[in-house]
Amino acid sequence: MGIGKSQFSEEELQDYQDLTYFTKKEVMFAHQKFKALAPEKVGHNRNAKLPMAKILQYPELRVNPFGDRICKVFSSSQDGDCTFEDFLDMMSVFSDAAPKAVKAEHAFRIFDFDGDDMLGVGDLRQVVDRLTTPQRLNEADMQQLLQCLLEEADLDDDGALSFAEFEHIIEKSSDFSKSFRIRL
Amino acid sequence: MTNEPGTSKDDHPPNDVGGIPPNTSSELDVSNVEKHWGLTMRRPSVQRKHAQHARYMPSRTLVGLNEETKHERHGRTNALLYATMRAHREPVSPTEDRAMNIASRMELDDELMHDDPISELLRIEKLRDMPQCLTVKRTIKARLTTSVSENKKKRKPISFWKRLKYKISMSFTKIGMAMREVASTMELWYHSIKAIEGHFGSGVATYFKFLRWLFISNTICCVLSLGFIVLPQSLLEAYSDTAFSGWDLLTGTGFFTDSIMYYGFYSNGTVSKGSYLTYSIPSAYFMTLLCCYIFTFLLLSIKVARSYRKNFIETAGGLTNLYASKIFCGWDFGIASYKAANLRSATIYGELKELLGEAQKQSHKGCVIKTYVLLIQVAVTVLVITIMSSTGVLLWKLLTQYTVDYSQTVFTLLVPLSITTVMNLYPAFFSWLAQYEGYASKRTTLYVTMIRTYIMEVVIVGVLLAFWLSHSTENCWQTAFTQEIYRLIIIDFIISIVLIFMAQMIRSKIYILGWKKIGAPRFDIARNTLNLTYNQTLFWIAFYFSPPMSFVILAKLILIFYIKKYGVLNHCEPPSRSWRAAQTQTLFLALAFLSMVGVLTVLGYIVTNIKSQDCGPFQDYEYTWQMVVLGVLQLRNDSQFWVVVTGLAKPGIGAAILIAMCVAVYYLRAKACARKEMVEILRGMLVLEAQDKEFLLNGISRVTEEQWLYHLNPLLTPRPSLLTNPQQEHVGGTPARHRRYSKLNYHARKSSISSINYQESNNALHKSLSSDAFRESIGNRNDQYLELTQRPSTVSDASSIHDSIKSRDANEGIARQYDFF
Repeated sequence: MGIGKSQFSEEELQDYQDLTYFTKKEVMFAHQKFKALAPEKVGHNRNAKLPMAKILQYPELRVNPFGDRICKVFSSSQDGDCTFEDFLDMMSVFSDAAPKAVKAEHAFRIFDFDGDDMLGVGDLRQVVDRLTTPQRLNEADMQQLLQCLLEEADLDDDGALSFAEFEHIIEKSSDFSKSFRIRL
Repeated sequence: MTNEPGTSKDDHPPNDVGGIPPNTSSELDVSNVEKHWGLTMRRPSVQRKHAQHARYMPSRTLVGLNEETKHERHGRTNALLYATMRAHREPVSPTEDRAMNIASRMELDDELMHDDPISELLRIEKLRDMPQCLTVKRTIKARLTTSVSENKKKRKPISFWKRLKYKISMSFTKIGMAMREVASTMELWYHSIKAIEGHFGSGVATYFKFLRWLFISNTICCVLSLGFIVLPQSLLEAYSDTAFSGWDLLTGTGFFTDSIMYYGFYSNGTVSKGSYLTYSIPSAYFMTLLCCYIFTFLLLSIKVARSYRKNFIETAGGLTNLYASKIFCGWDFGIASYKAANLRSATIYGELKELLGEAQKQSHKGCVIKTYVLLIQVAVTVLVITIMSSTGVLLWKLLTQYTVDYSQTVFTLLVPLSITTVMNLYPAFFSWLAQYEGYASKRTTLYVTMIRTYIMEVVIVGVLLAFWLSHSTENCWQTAFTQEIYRLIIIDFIISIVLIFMAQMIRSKIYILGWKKIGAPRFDIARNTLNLTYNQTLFWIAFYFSPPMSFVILAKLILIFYIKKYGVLNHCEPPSRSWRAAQTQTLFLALAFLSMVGVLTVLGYIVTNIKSQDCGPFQDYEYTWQMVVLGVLQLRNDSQFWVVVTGLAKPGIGAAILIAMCVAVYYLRAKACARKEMVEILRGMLVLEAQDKEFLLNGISRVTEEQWLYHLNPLLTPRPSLLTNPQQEHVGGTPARHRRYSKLNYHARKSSISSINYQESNNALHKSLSSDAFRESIGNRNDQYLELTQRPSTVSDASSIHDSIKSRDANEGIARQYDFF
């Protein structure tokens, strides 16, 4: 990790440690991982902006059906391209130490495909579709599933899940923090 | 925001239900109007309550940018930050601007802007939990730091004591941070567990994490016991002259019998170096083991309690949102291989299908079938109990046959071999049986199998213990008993780990070579974890009689880890069902905890009620406990302490404590029930609030379209369809919930209908509203509204719009409900 140390000033590391759920060592480790995605580019400029395609080569994101959504949510330019800080932020939210509420907030944004601040039927349909690809639920099943889902989760009966409702689900789910997690 | 629920578009408000007094005359006075709108009907406290709930509505969080409340700093700042986060979507402002915006909001908060460590910590915490990207956070932090240091110049210097306090708290934080850093670098088997998690998901990884946890807690016991018991004893004498043979390693007899390995060999004397330094082996033996057991017990209880709280209490059972958790928590983000990902997709697909199928099936399940299923379950349970008890009896017979004569024959291995075989065959048999019992869910099936397997373990270990306790009059029975346990641990390793590893290897080879029918081996998390608990139970029993056993168990755990890891990564396929890791984990921990309690009870019995023999460290005393009381504390029978202890030990006091505990439990239980009811009520309120929101959104959109007009509509009659079935057009909603709240819904809906007038009915209304006073009041209010909405930038305005709209909306029906709450 000696090489990593020279890349960041003590101040920056302190900032990263304060603002993420990582220790300095872990920040450095994250940078190694980031560098492994594009050694050349990051070697020149440690905070280089990598295109989404490169970020998606990260093993956990590569196989994740929501990989592109994750990139977009964490990208500071909102187009999926990530700098190291965005990447670090992503890893920090997915780490064990991040509280459930923070995870829930980001999960909500990941699932909110159309960005209207509600998980509408369209969003939910897309979530289910992405989860089950390559197979697809047939239309009748999908209808029934969405109806069941809204029945139990949509407390105000407006046909969509608001953030409050989503958070309520997450709070009641014991498995969420275990599944919404990527070990660095 | 959505504007689709135009439910009230052409519905007419009813005038015979709810809080509105039926108004038959067309002449209306202002006070009546006031009453109708609910402006005067609602008490301030109710309004406050209402407003508090409304804060969490999305409509409210958008307004949150301008909201200014002094109380509840956490809730407030969160709402504000989410709002800013969401707001950025529409106009994509440069990050700099956004950062400045948030920073200036935060600067307004006095508590965050003090120049002391506490507020600095608060600041950092707030920033860290903020869903913003890191670049923005850094900018904010830099800006806040400068503004804080600017503020500092104006402040008077802080006192010495305060500075000291801050310094101490700061150093604590730093130490905590350093500890975390060390812990993160020393995390045991990090890469192995990550690799397993990547390929098999977090379910399989929980087994390995549990193993790691056991390993760490056992390491601590091992270090303590080796350092304080084995090392001093080895200074005196470590082993006697008996020839060593390989066979001894397997049976634990021969060379080991008279060695430091077992209880019987430990001396009752002291180690002394020089004239002052003496070390009493019996005291060390007892105290160290006591510490180890207390330590493990505390660690385990904390872990169980925490896990239980996290997975059962905080989530209210965790089963409330079946579909939602399947969908939103379905994907295991830790997966990193294509194979596992594909399997995961297939699993989710299969489970969703199954869930939907079950939902259809459940609706038509007759009473006869239910009774039939119940009968089968009872029959199978009786069968299982019979099998268990007969196994226990057979084991007892076997023990009396072979164990008591310690001749070193193959027969010494007969008992452990048969026990281990039983332990490996029965779980498979039980899970095979459970398939035919028709439990409602796979989860129940799994739990039932696990609990049966566990009970079987308890029966076997219990028979073993009972047998040896009944033979506790023999000389040095402790050594013989520990040898038995040692053999069990070793044989279990050979059969459960090595043989199964071999079997899986062969099976996977056959599978790869082409015989697909056999199926690739899978890693059974439940059975493997239960095996670990069994192993640990054996260790906890044996540890008291053999401190070096901790070393044996550590070696075994390391070997298990690597063998299992190799087997899993090379031979097994990822599990085909998703594993609800969190709750099952709690069950495992609870079972381990039960074992621990059982072991401690037995050991307590041995210490207090079994006479010491002529061997071991406590041979000077009649009972082991006397060593502590007489030897260490040097108490005599007539001392004050003794009187107190015997007084406390009276049954009356025990009963009193028990009753007090019962009362406490009852009280807490009642409180929990009350809370549950309260939650139901609050949920009902949430439904009402949602209706509010719907109405509000409609109202606001109409205001912006300048179509806002009020009318009182006692003249119009309700539509019957609305009265009979007010929630017809809902997308979802469980019938029960709806039945309960349909009335409340109805009030809310009615109010929303009654307060909006639509373009179509304008003309008719204008005709009907003849009263000048009324018209004037409406006109005023209308102006006021438009004025307010046109400048929504100030804080008070935004909330006053909200409140005034809301107050209109909330009629007496709701108000009465609130009173009831």
